[in-house]
Amino acid sequence: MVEYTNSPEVVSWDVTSKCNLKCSHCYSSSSIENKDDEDLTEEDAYRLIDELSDIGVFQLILLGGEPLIRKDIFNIIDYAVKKNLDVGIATNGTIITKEIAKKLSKYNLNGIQVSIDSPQAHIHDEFRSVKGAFHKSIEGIKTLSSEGNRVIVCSVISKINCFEIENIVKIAIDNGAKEFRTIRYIPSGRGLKEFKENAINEHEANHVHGELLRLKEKYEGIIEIASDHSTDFLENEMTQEFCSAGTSTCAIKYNGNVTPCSYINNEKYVCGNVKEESFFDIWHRKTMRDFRDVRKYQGKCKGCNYIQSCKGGCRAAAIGIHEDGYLPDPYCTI
Amino acid sequence: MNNLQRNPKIRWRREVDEVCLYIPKNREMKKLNNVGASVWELCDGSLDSKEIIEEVSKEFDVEANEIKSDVEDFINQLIQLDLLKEA
Repeated sequence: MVEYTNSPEVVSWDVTSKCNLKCSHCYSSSSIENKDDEDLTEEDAYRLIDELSDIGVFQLILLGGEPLIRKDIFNIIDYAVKKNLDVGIATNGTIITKEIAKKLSKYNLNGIQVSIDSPQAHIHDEFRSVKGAFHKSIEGIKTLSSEGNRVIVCSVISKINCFEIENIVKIAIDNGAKEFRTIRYIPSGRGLKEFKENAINEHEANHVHGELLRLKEKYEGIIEIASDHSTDFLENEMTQEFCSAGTSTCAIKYNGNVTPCSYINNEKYVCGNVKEESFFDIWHRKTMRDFRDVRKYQGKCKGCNYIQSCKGGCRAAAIGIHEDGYLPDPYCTI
Repeated sequence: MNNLQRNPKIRWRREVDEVCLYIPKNREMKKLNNVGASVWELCDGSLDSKEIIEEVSKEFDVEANEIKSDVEDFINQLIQLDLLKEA
C-alpha cells in the first residue's frame, strides 16, 4: 500500500508557460512564444486557491514559465495569502524592479527563488539563451533582498556548475540571499534534449554531496544551505526518501492538468484537470498513487535492497528517459 | 498549570492516525502520532494538563498514572517549541 496524506502538504502550480528566457533545462519548455490562452484564468485561480485552502494544503509554490509575467499575479498572491496559504514563488529574477520587490515584500512570502546556473555570466546566459540574463538576475536578487524578501538562490546541478558551487554561494551571500539550494538536472521538457551532455555522473554527484555538507558548515549563520537529497541519492547513510511527489506533494500545470510532480509532462501521468473536476478528487485518484507503488517497479529496482528507502528515486527522471515511471531513475548508480 | 492553547499561527490538520503541523515561521512540517494528535486536539484552551491526561487515558484505555509523565513531557516540549501556550 502506498501511504499518502489526505491532502498534499505542498502544491506547486505553473501559473503560466510563458517566459522571457528560454532555458535549456526548462521542464515546461517555456518561452515567450508560448501562448497563454490555456493558462488557468484568474477566476479558475481563485476557485483553486479556495479549494486548496479548504482541504488544508499548507504551501502553494508558484512556478512557471515566469510567474511575474502574469498580469494578475499580485491578485493571485494576495488572494492565496489571505486564504492562509504559505506562498512561495520561483522567478528568473530578470524583470524584478524596486516596485515589484516592494510589492512582494508586503506578503512575507516563504521564499522567492531565483535561479543562477553559473558564477560566470556568459555560461549562465548561454544556459538561459538570453544575453544579459545573468546580470539582470543578480540585480533582481539584490533588489528583492534589499526590500526584505527572503531570497533563495537555486542552482540546477549539471556539468557546467558542479565544481563551482561555492562561487555561486558567494554570489548569493554578496547579494543578500538567505538560502542556497540545488536541484538535479531532470530530463524533462527542454531538459530532455541535452540530458546526456549535462547530467552529472557518480563521481561528480559525490563531489557535490560533499561540497554541500562542507559549505553548510562553513557558511552556517550566514546563509542556509538546504539539505538536498538530489545529489546524495542512494548514499549509504540515507535514511529518508527524498521525493514526496504523489504522497504529500503534487503539481498543477499551467493548463490545469494535475501530475504528481512539476517535472512530469507525460500525458500518461496526468491524473485530472482542475478546470473540470475537484483537486481533492484528483489527489485521491488511483493514478496519483500507482506511480509511487514500488511493488510495480521493474528493471534493477525490482527486488533492490534500497527500494524501501529511495522509493525508486526520481520518477520524473525515469519517465523522462524511459517514458515509464516503473523503470529505474537514470541517476541510480546501483 | 493553566489551560493549554494551541499557537494560532500554527496550521494543522488531522490525518487518519496523526496530526500534520505546519510552522510558517521556519517553514517546517511536523507530524504527531496518534496519542500526540489527541493531546494536540485537546489543547483548545478549555483544559489544563491534568484534564488532558484524564481525557487521553479514557480515549486509549490506560491508567492516567501510566501516561502522566510522558504526556507532561510532550506538552512541555510543545511549549518549548512555541507550538502551545498556557492560556
